[in-house]
Amino acid sequence: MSSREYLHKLYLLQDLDLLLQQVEDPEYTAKTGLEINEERIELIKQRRDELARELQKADPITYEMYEKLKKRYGRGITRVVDDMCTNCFVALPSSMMKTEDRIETCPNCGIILIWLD
Amino acid sequence: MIKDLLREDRVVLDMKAKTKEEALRELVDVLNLSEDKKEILFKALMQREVLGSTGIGKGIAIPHSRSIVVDNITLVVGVSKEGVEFDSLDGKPVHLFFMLIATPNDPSMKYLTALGSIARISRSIAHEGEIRTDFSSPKELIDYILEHADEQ
Ligand SMILES: [Zn+2]
Repeated sequence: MSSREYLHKLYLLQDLDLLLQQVEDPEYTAKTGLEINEERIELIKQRRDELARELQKADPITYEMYEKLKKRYGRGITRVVDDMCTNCFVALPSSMMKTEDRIETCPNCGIILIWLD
Repeated sequence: MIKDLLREDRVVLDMKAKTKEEALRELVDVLNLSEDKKEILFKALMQREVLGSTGIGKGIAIPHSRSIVVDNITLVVGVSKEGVEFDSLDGKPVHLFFMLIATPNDPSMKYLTALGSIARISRSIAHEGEIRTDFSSPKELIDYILEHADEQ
């Protein structure tokens, strides 16, 4: 799997994690009145776990890093916008270039970075 | 809050979509995003629909998600004259869409509060009976929505 593909799959994983986090928040149903199909949550969890296994197999170090970051910040990967990390909002050093050829992390907060076009 | 999210350039007055997929794509298209980002956002919205339709009934749907592709909490409003099949709770086609996207970093309070006000506005509009679809300008649609907001 190329780094580009890995990063794209990693934020698909994060989207699934955010979705599960959202629907399991009691405030969510309280504020919106939306009903969640409990059986379907299992389906999303299965998709999530399948993807997680694939990513863990392909690059265990990055995957473990994602899980650790998620515990600390609630997310493990974030976008670079205007040369700034959108997790800690610190400007990245000018030596850091936009790339998808390798996995980069923020020198300040450690989060995995993605430059999206 | 909702007032700040409603923008004339984030409105579709006459949606062409017939299906859920087409409707979500049409709403996502309004945002000035690359094809890559649009696809990511579309996928996230569809995943949410798996857990139960965001078609809350009476012709209104509020598709929503957190997504890495937006820079700020973002709302798109769409009107469909003919209606879209959206697996709504009451089986009725959807004529009014509120698509809300938050960044992964937006605090839950902000995101859920916005979603909550949209749900309340939707219920207030639904309560009147027939949903209006004959808007001649984005401003007219925004005014109609704001008339149903309880926060002014
Ligand atoms: Zn950072």
